[in-house]
Amino acid sequence: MKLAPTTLTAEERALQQEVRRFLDDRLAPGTYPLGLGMAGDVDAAFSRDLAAQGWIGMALPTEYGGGGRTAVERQIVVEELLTRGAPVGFHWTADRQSGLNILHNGTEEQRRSLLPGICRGELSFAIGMSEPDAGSDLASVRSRAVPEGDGWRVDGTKIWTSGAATATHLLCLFRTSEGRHDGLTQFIVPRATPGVTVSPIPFIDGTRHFCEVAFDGVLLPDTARLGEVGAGWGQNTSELALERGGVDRWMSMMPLLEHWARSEGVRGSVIAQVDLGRVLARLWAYRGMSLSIARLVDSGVFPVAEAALVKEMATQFEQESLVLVRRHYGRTPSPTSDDPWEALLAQALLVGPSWTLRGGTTEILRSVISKGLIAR
Amino acid sequence: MTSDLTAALADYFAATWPLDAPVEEPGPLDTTPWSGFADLGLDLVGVPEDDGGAGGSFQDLIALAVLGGRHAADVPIVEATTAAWALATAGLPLEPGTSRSVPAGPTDLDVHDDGSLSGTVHDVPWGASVDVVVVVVDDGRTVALEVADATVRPGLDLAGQPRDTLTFSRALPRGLGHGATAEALRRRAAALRIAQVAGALQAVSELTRRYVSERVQFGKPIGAFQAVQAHVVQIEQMSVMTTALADRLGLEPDLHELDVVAARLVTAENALVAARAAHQAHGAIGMTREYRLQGYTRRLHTWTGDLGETVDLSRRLGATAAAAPSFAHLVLDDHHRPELAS
Repeated sequence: MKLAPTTLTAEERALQQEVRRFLDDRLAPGTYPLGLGMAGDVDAAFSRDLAAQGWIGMALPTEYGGGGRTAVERQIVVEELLTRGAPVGFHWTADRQSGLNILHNGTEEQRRSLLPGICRGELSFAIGMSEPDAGSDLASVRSRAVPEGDGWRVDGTKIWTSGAATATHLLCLFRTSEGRHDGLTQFIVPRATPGVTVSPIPFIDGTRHFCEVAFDGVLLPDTARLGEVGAGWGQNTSELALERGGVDRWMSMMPLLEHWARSEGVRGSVIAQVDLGRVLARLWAYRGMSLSIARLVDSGVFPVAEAALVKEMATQFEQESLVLVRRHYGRTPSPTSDDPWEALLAQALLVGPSWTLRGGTTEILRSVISKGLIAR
Repeated sequence: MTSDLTAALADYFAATWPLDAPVEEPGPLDTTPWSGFADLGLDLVGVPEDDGGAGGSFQDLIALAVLGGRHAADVPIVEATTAAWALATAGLPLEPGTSRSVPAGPTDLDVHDDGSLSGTVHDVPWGASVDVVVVVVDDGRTVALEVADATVRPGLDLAGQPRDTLTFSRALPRGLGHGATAEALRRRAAALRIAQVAGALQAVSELTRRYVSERVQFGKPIGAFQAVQAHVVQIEQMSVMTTALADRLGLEPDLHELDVVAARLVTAENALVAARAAHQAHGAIGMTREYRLQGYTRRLHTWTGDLGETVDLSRRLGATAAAAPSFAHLVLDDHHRPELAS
């Protein structure tokens, strides 16, 4: 495996400055709830404002309302958002993966009906993959779409679906025949469809973004199908490359690290500086790798194994750096503190274990990487 | 480097330091493949032809150092090319047929009024068997000293490669001139050392993958066990990451201190993680002199030490971050790099 080195061009650096200026104004400190990376707050108004700048769906073609720009340019915007713990929850999934999935696998009608709304920040997607009996072993999904009339009838349950309660659409993987991999098909389900019931599952930190979604005799037109019947597994795999290779896999801690680096505690402690310096060096290295992966995506490659390789170590490093910040905090942070940074650290301690679970567990990623490396 | 040239070089390295032979401890320079290496001008890569060098960009030189590490080449690639660059930068001649090294350890040299030098140059790779050692002395001048004028205390690094200490007494230098700073010379040598480590890690990753796919226990290749796969994955991660760092440094010959220090720190950590995982995956065979792994892991331990003391590197980065207006910008801005804290 090899990642070609790259740096930002002058145009890309100009975009970086532009995004910083906008966010300094739009997200003044103290005016929004701080988030941990991609788990930022859901704020549809913020998403619309960001879209008005042309910064959602940036990599989608202009004919569908997108920016016609690159994965690298999208990364630049995302880096600035995650640095601030911005409320990215409403548009996050659509911007990262659903839009590109629809572009690559959707019909012309689906592209025209959905992509402009994504790019305006008006549509919010959630991903229906896991089920009660299918987690890491995704090919075991049992929720079934059966042909009925000109369309489909869906019964089953999806679980661990983040953001389903606030999403406008669900992008789901359903079983359409018995073939383990070729019996799976993706569907786009408007959340308001009769028979769809979304039930929040209180998360470890008390938030309610995590959901179970029940499908009870849900009738879908065939136009809800994304891609060919039986093509769902392959589409899902490509989507996972987008989901795994990004900067969101090492930036969950960024707002806390920024705050910590500015603190008296670090200025006055050589020991804390030693720990902070180690974090800086490694994040700088991961950033270089993410940039190389984004350039690969722009060259038309879906770097599945490379993305898994980076996610496996970067997400573990997020947890390591959380341990370091906590070690220097000196007491147990309170989730009800008036200091939003203390409350954020408390939240991070609770949700930190999810960083090496979501988007593919460390163990599954190792298996993905080693399949590409070891001759059997 | 053009891909043709890279391919030709790869062929030369494969023929000279085959990847399927045991790695022996080298002797003095004249018992190694040095003469062929120097005949190709490889000790002068990265120095413009107008200055008596072999030409080639800094990126080409990084690629050469990666190859050297990958093949555990027992010639002073980093030292010879750094010495040549330092001499050329100081406007000093590169006399043909001369072998050169730079110290990995500290130097303690006084310049006398008559231009002669006295003192000690520590840990010079192949110090006793090169013709010239190049150092930047305290007053900032670049000096080329004849090894023939030195008293030699021979030594070895962990890989059994010569690393000698040279003591001079009123030695007249072969050349003396103002050129690169001591810090710039260290940065360049460190970037090349990182490239060498990256090459060695690539080889360690390939060696481990091959071993776990061939070694059968409990009726199947041990690479089929998830616990073993975890080692293989970790080694490849360290290899890919360190190679990316070396290539990244190769993009800009004017190396930023902050970037080089960050890369040194990550590389030093990566090398030790990979060495440990590779020995674990190999079991007993990896502990023997006849198997190739030792040739790499012993070098990795040596080179990791050359990259510096990791606690101090971390502290300087942390102090820089604590004083900077934004931590995130240090991660994300690849063009505006502040001065590194002392």
